[in-house]
Amino acid sequence: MVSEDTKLMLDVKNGDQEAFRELVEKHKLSVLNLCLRFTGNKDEADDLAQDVFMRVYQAAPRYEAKASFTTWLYRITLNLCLNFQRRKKLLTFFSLDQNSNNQYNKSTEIPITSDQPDTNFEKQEKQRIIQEAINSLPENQKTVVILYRYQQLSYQEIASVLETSVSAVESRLFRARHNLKKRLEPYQK
Amino acid sequence: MTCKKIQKKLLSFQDKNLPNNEMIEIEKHLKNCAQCSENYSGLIELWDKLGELETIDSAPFFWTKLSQRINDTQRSRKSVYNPLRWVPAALTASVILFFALMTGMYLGKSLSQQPLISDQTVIEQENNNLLSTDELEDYTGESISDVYVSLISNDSH
Repeated sequence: MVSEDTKLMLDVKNGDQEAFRELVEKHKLSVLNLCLRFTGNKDEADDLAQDVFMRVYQAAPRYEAKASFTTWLYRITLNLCLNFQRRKKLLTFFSLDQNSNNQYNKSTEIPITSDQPDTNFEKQEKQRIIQEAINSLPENQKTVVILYRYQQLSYQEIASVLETSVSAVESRLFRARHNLKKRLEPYQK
Repeated sequence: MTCKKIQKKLLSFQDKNLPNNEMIEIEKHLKNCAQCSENYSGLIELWDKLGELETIDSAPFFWTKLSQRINDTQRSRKSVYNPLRWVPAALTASVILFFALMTGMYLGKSLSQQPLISDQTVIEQENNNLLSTDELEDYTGESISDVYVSLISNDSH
């Protein structure tokens, strides 16, 4: 039985622009947030998400409903996110600007209201620490944590996206949580 | 189940990814074991903490930007296939080729007209040397080294 998303994508393959719009509206937040977890920056997440959907649109003529649409969409998103991270690491390595090392930059700042500057600062600082803890994980662990915790995919769905086994996903998640616990322990109450 | 086994299963317990009987057993254990209960609370806290990251809740102009980008891409693709787009480049290439040919022809012509002065001068000199020899001297019976010495010192007989 073909899912609604797959039907829409097959319509896009036949040139239906409206079907593509429907797919974009349905999945844009999911893709945006997945990109945000990797970039740590809303503007970069927006650009990357645009690239994802451009890729989907350009691949439409060759689309085959082998896997579910969301699995395919997440695969494209992850590929672009991981490429982005690797490029950024290279640029950071060659950059003399120390600020470029901080992925959690001004675009993610919460506007400071005059009556609660300390609370906002504390919140920003917490988020920076958490983001850095996630960024410190090896790529494969980071990916499963993001897909599991933020995209709320099941083990099976994650295994499908990553084209690996469920036990591999469990193992990576186990190690990721262990590493995160160690990293965040000093900041826990 | 021992504490060690329970510790290994805590993540799966948190994910509710265990058979029913194991879930019940671990729940019972956590009620009675302070250490395991503390570890489990730590996991819950960690998981909650991860949820404190900011998320994007709306993107009202996302489609507008995307459709603009798609239109721009389609427009630029059409111009690639427009033959008139290539006229300036073809014209420039033709002009450069023409000048290159003209320069080559000019250089070739001017080189072919130059006399081989140096070769001719050498040949003439050799001829003059041969012709200026009045006579061939008879062999005197001296050794070759003596003859050589006399030749290089220009001794006349």
